[in-house]
This record gives sequence, C-alpha cells and structure tokens, in this order.
Amino acid sequence: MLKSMDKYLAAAALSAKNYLAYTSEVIFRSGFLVVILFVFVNLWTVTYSRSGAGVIGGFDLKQMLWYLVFTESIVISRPRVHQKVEEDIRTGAVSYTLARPYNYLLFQLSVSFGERMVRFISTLMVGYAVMSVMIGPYLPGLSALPFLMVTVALAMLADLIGMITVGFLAFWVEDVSPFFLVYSRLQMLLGGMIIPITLFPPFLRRLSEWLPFRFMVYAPAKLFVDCDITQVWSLMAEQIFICILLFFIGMSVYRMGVKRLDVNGG
Amino acid sequence: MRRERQVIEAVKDVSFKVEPGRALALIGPNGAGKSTMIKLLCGILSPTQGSIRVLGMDPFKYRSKLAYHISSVFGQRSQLWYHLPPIDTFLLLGRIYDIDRVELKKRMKELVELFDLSSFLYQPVRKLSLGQRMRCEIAAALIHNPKILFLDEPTIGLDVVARSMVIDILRDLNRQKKVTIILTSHDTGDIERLCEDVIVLNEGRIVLESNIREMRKNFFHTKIIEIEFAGQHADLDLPPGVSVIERSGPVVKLEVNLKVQDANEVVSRIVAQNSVRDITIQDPPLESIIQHIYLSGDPAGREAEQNAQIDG
Repeated sequence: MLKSMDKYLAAAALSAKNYLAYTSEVIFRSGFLVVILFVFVNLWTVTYSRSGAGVIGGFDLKQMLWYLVFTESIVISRPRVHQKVEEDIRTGAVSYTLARPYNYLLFQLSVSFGERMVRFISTLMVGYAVMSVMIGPYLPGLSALPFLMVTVALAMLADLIGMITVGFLAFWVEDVSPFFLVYSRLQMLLGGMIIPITLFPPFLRRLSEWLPFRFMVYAPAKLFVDCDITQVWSLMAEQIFICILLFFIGMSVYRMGVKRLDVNGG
Repeated sequence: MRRERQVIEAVKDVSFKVEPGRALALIGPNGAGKSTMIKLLCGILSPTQGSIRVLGMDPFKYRSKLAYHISSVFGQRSQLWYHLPPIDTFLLLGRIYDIDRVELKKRMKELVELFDLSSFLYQPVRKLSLGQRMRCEIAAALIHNPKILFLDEPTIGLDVVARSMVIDILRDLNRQKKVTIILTSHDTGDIERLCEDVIVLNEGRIVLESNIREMRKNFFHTKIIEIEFAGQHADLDLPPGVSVIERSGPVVKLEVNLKVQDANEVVSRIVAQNSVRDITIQDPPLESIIQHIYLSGDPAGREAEQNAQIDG
C-alpha cells in the first residue's frame, strides 16, 4: 500500500517544485487577498462595534478576522484542476494515461495537491503578514499545529476530489464551467468562506451540516482560531470519511466516463 | 427530434503478427486507422470484435500489467514537466514504474549516454529545442526498459538534423537492444531507415503487409536513369516506355517503365550512341510507391503479385 502510494507522493512533491516557477502569479493572487482583507477588517470592525457584542457566533473580532484570513487562503489557493481534467478529456489526452501504471484520479489529485500546498502556504504568509500589520499578530498553540496541518491537508484533498469529479463531467458535456460555478458558490456560501456557519440561520446551518463543504473550508479555519483538541479526532475521522466517499463517487463517474471515451483524432 | 447514431468502423478485418525485435511501420493517409491501431495495441481502446495479444496478454484486460512492459511516445503529447529539468521527469517515472533506486540510476546513466542528454539534463524543458525535447521524451519512455515501444509520429515538427538523430537512436535501440518498435509516421524517409516491415492501412483495412525491401521490389513500375553527357548530344532516340522527365544542360533524367522496357537495355543503348560522363540508375522514392498504393483501386496484393511475375 505504502509502496503504491510512493508514486503519488513523488508526483505531489514534483508538482510543488514545478509550481514554484509561477511565483509572479502567486504574488498577484496574494495582492488580491490584501484588498479582500482590508474590506473584511473594516466591515467586521463596524459590525462588532455597532452590535456591541464581544462575541458573534462563537468568534470575537480578532478570531473572526483570522478565520477569514484562513478561509480566503484555502479558497484562493484552489488550482484549476477541473479545467485540466476537462481539457484532458476534450483533447483525448486522458486516454493516453490509461496505458500508464497509475490511477488517473489519484495522479491528478497528487499533482493538484502539490500545487495547492505551494499556493496555500504563500497566500497564507501574505495574509498573515497583512493581518498582523492591521490588527496585530496571532499565534495558534504549538500543540494544535500537527492537527491543523492534517485537517488542512484533508480539507484540500476533499475539495480537490470534488473539483476533479466536476471535471469528469466533461465525458458527457462540452463545458463543465457551469457545474463548477455551482460547486464553488455552494462551497463559498455553505462552506463558511465568507461567514462562519455558526452565524447561519438554523435551516441553512442544518443544510450546511449535511453537505461536505464545511469540512473543506469552515472546519480547518475554525481549528486555526479555536483549537478544541477534544473535537479534533472526530473532525479528522469525518474528513477522512468525506474524502473516501468523494473518491468513490469520483471513481464511479470516471469509470462510467471512460467506458464511453471518445478519443479525438485518429 | 431523434439523435441519429452512426457507427464508423475505425479498423476492420485487420490481422497481423510482429516478431520480437522487429521494427514495423504503420502507414496510411490521415484517418486510415494508424493511431487507432496503436491505441488498441496499448490497451487504450478495446476492439468490438476479434482479439489482440501483446506479449501474450490481452492489452485492454491487462492494461496495468502490460504498462510495465510496453511504452509509447505520441509526438504531440509530452510527458515532460515543462518548467522542470528532464531529470525530474525521469526520477518521477522511475517511481511511477516502481523501479528500484539503484536500478533507476543505472538505467538513467545508460539513457543519458545513448541519447546524449548530459549537456541539458538539468535545464528546464521549456528552454530545450524541439529535437532535444523529443530525445528526452523517448528516453523517458524507455526508463522502465520496455520490450515494445510504440511511436506515433515521433519526428513530427523536427528539423532534418534532429529527425536524423532520433531515427538513428531508435534504429540502434531496435538493432542492438532488440526493442520491438511499432511506428506510425508520414515520413517515408524515417520509415525506410528504421523499419524492416510495413503495413499500409487505408480506411481501416490493411491494404498491404510486406517487408519494405519486398515492397520496393514488387511495386516498382519505373526506374529513374540520370545521365550526364560529355559535351553536346543529339536528340535522344528513346525506345517506347522511356520518357524524359527533366533536362538541365548536359544532365538528362529519364523514367523507364519496367513493364515495357528493361532499364539495362536502355542504358546500353544510350551509352552506345552517346558519349557519357556519368550515369546512375535510381529507384523512385518510397513515397511515390506508397502514394500509388493509396490511390490504386486494385487490391494491393494482387498488383504486387502481378508485378512480381513481371519482374520474374
């Protein structure tokens, strides 16, 4: 098992190395984050001061702003893996990978994961620096760091499997962007990217709890600002379950798609 | 409204065998079924009827197992990482094919020497020329020491020097390392230099399966005679079946129809009647033979048989 995973770890590491060549894009994306964070700082400062409440939805102002740094870093770091998969299917390139000794979904997952880690770390560093200047630095407990790293990795894996599965729809449709738009908007809204799900009205919160998106965005960001070790194990177990479930859904879609594979060119 | 379904048979009634260590060319016009054939042999596609055995295995059923013993290079699809040096791709492929680290190091050393990659092994792929990239591409395909190498248009877009180098390396691999090569190419020069056998496909069917030397022999209708006369020459008294195709000063190029006239007799006659400085007899290019096969309405085999009888 470990031996067979070796190739995927190597692909993730190589992808991270490859992505370091795109430093200018990382800086540009991070520049966009500065604007977003400036808006958030002003918005939430006004909200907290007007409401007079020290804590909203379980977050004080500082936690809320650091929560948003984390959720934005997770979402902005998302690579366009659905487009890569779509292109592979449209051009027939996916068929050539069939004759290679690896699982296409796992390989794309590894490559996109490597890329995303570089993007996430660089974005978080910029976000951390900007927010530290604006409201002062924040240090999560050292004991929480290993859990945080695992949770972030699982969150990203679940999201990437979801994106790859959306890309697999290209076996049936010419353009997967409408599907990705729905996927990404649901994730932004119900995953807690803009507002923590604890602030949602009850029906929306229940809906969010039934969907996998909160494990991709809300859960690791919440852990970043409020590490509750008692709940972290169950959270990781749930994330692993979501990853496995999404993987099986993704593989089923892929297998159905490959059966009707129409290789372009001849 | 109803969607109509149209079934197109990409390849049909195709049957052939390739002995280990041979080099086979699949040729044919666009849409003839060459790439489909390669995809079938690699296990990428499954035939709707019939059976395929590659190294004793059904390629579609045992695709993962077979992947460790075969390799493919598709001219327009790269497996090199664009921003990284080729060495990184080689190392990754070593892990993908579960190659032991010591073995991988040894294998890479061999390939670097064979393909002369040492001067650009650590340069990002984006900085390499097309020829250098293709050498790396083929080296990458050989990292797991495959028994069969499938190449789909490997020299597409390469200049003459790069193409020649790639073909020389492939020929060495085939002749010395006994790697079986199955190649598709539109370049008849590549085919002639590399392959011993040829299958000509058209509209999904095999129109000719032959040894290249045999094909040349059986499909010759003509020979080209180039004569350089010493000084002025009178109008040539040409026998039937011989025509002038080019004239440039003292050099005249003749085409001899072998069904009508013997080339040696034509040469003797010209030499007897004129003062000749130099004379050469050439075969027409392979390309024209292949073009003739594509365009011929008659079954190629029968025509080849007829020509063989004429030659005999």
